[in-house]
Amino acid sequence: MAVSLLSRLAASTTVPVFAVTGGGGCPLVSSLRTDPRARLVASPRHAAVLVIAGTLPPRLVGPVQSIHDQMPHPRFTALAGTQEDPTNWGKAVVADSSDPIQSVVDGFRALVAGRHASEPDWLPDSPPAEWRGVGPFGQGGEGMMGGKPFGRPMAEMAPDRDGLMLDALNVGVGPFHPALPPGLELRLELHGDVVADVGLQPNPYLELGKPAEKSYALFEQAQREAVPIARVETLRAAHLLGTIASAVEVAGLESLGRRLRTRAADPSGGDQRGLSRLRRALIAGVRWSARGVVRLPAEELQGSGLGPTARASGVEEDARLDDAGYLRLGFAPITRSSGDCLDRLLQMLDEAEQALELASKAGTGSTSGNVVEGVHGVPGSGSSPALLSLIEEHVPGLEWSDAVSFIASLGVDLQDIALAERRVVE
Amino acid sequence: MNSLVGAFSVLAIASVLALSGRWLGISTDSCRVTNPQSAPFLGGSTPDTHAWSRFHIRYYAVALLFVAFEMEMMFMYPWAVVFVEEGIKALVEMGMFLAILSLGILYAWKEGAFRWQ
Repeated sequence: MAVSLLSRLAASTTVPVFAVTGGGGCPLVSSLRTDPRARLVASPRHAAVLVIAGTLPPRLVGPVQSIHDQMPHPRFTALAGTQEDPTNWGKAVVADSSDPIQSVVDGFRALVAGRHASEPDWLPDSPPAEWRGVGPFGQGGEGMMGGKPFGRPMAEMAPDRDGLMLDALNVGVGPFHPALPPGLELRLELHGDVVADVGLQPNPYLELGKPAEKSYALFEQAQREAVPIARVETLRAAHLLGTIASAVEVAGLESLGRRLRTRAADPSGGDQRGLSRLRRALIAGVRWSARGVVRLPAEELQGSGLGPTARASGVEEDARLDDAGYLRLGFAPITRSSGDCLDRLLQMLDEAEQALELASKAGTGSTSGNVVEGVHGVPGSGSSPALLSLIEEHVPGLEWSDAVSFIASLGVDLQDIALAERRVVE
Repeated sequence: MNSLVGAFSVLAIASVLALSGRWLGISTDSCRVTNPQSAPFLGGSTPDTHAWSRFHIRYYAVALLFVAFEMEMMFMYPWAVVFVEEGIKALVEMGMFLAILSLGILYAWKEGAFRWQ
């Protein structure tokens, strides 16, 4: 009786979900963030359901298996919007394409009620190497420095920023770390909380055979033919608001993130005062952590085609200045001066507001059909590969919290970068 | 004799309860930590090196601030008592003292000790 009551109470809660994003999975993960039936958690330890959204490139399968095995029991996996063969994923449930979140909720209730068995591990339950039991602490070597406990070598000494010789910790973070964009995997050398060196792993979404994300299709179309400015600018506003939402969620401001995503789902639905309230909440929420962090100089970004990132540093470059349709509307690019993390986020908010204004003024007006400014700069594209080189260049020397704020403020989307790189190859 | 029997009885009952509780825990254990679960969560990656490493926690910035502000207060209380009697001399001495301490505060500021994180 009591157990049944407890099961019913447990089943009535919001579903703790850890989501991994494959090709084409971004919209579902975004809706998981706003749907009251589910709660996206930051670590598999707090999750009961692993949602695999979209099709995973082969290189991401191993990390997903590792994340799955880190979830506590009872647990289950849901595949949504994927071309994966479900039999490769044990007893994973294929979510209903019409309402995948309801499938997740139903699966969670069945799991808690005991109608669905908890999934076993997908990887062997053994350490990378055996414990050797040699040395004063059983670490496998002499003193504190030798040996490879459980197959992992002890940290090597390296000079830190104070001139002391201390241990450098080498770790990989990602590709599904909640503080980083999906798919981004960093190899870090850490001195305490300071990033001494960073290396980026290859973009895993390049392994997907065909374009997975169609959200920028309108920008692609605008390269070839005239399209209504109102549609382009509404889409731009939605994407920019979504990018800001991702950045504030990394800062722990989930409520503000939900408000931004709700507005992004219907950018033209609210009024100007709604955007002003979002601006005040954004400034109040991130000014302490984002102001003054990684000021990108304007001269470094001249001609980079990095859109709002460059304009936040004062670079007046925008492909819309070459479009007669936009010039008729009196378009002039907005710029900022300091180019720090706070400025980059405010720049995106300013440009979302400007995009909505242009959309309302444009009426039936169209673009000229040659080129159109993408959401993050590169014409006809989302994110640019050049954003990744900014990470490699500016993250060394930062504390981890600043590094995370910086990467979030760039609006990196590896799926869009894969699309852009594939287009260059073609 | 009776008290000895009582003590042994208590010991026996306690032992039976403890052992049966332990047995119950082992036999119904569904929360055994597996190897993947014992690894740190890094978003799907694994650490290249063992986590047993020494790094500089930088207590010195906090210690510097503590000494600077604590010494100010330690000196200011007695100084305030004699300030009226000593006049401008006391003011100059306090000015020199604060100037020296301020150097430490400025250094800590430069090191980022006041950053809100």
